[in-house]
Amino acid sequence: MPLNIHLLIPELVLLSFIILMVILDFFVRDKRQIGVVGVVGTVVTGLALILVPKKGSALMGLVIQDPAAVFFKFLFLIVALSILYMAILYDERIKHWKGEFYILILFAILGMMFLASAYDFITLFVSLELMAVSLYILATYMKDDTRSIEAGFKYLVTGALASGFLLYGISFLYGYTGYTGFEEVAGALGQGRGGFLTLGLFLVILGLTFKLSSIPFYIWAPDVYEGSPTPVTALIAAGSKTAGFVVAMRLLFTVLGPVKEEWIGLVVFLSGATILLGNLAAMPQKNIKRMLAYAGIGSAGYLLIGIAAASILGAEAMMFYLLTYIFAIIGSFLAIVIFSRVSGSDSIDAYIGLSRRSPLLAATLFIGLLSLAGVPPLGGFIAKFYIFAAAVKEGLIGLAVVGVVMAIVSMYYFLLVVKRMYLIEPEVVEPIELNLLTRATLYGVNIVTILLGIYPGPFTDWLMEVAKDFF
Amino acid sequence: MITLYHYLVLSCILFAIGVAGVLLRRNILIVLMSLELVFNSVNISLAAFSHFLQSMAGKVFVVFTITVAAAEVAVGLAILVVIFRQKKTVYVEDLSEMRH
Repeated sequence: MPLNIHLLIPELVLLSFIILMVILDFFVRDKRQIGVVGVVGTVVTGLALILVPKKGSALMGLVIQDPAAVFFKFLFLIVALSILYMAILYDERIKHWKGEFYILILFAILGMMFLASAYDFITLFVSLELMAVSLYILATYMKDDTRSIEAGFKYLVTGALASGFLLYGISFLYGYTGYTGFEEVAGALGQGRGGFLTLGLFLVILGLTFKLSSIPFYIWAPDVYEGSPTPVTALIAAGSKTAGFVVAMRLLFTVLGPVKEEWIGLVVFLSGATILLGNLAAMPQKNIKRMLAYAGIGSAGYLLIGIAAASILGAEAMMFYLLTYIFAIIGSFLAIVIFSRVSGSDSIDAYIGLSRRSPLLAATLFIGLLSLAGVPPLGGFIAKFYIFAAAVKEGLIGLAVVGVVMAIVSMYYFLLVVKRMYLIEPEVVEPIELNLLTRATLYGVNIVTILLGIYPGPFTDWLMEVAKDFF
Repeated sequence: MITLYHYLVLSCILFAIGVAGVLLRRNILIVLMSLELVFNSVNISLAAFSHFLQSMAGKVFVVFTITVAAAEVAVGLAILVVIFRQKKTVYVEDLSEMRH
């Protein structure tokens, strides 16, 4: 197999820009300029990604490029752009090593991009850890804030333990087939000693649930979301979870699809339990980041329905769900970052009367949260609809019923925030000033979320084509 | 004669001790040591499979695992230093500010 290094040009471009940022960090006084270099790097990477061939395998089959990988790489670049922008807005709150904040964000994104292409257990593990270790450092970044270091420590310990489970599972899959490449593993299924396969699958799925933040490794999510700097929370919520699902789809659909009766039962159970837990635990929360952590656990449960469906429609529904989820998370967290600069608080009660102080900010949070809840004219509704359709088509009626009921329950805690923003009169009425760039960004994110809801046709048709790659 | 299963049982015992250590011990240093134990039990299992299957991939994987585990624990120790400077403690139960 040839090296085909040209398929990796986008990643190499991003890596060059990261190195450039490391060098610039020595000379530049205002570290926000490093963030701007990062934004330029992300855009150039995106252009390179448009030009690169969409099919092929590189580095002796260690990584592959297919339309699904390209789609997810674009999603990660969108995440990178918005997180860098949030980080620039957040700059004044970071006390130490401001420049490296942007550099580590892009290292995490680089790990995610490699993860989208990983086609060998070694690539998968190394890129997963590139992303994870960058995120551990980022979560601990506010080292004067005891909540941030607590978040970082919990993230590291649960993350490393989950990596241990994943690796132990991989070692059994390796023992079963004798290969680490996905293609060879898929080819060797059904030849080895069966016990290793079941054990390996079980451990790999448990290890992956950490990245998905679903049961059983969900316990870190609320504390890490609350304690981390808000741009990092958004990166974990949007990027890390999406990366986890890319791996899960590649591994379970493409490689282990032929033995799906071995893992479907476990995924169905995890999915139902995660939906129930996430949505019920979100209700009493007082901190908006903590509430979004539980809402994110609930979303992981919905996405697991797509995995349990194990069909082209399921894969398509998951990709569309992740697309709408990322835009909803970006919108909500942009509003949270901007508002917390003024109020200095992430408590839900601080949002009282936000619509009087800044209608645009309130509208962004409103649209983001309702898209997460799945309210009809928005993208999140179509995504949930496709997920349930995939579940019903594969005969998972029970899961679909649990999902629909819990989607209605989730409306309750999202509307509690909306009620505070719109219906209660504020004590402070001083308006919040937004500059032109911020306003344009917020409008852009809102328009995409609404567009995905009222005109999803082109996206779903295209994703249907992309989803066929997984099978 | 030492067979594959002897190695697998050893790695399984080490893995169980490691996981129990992470979940039960209160001292952060011991938690990090237990994490090392988890990673090294995987290394034993990979190396054993590699030897008995006559395949090099497992040994290559072990090198990667050792490297990445070292990076992870380096970050862990750095976080431990920050925790000790801020809170003057190395015990897990003192890290519970965010439980409402």
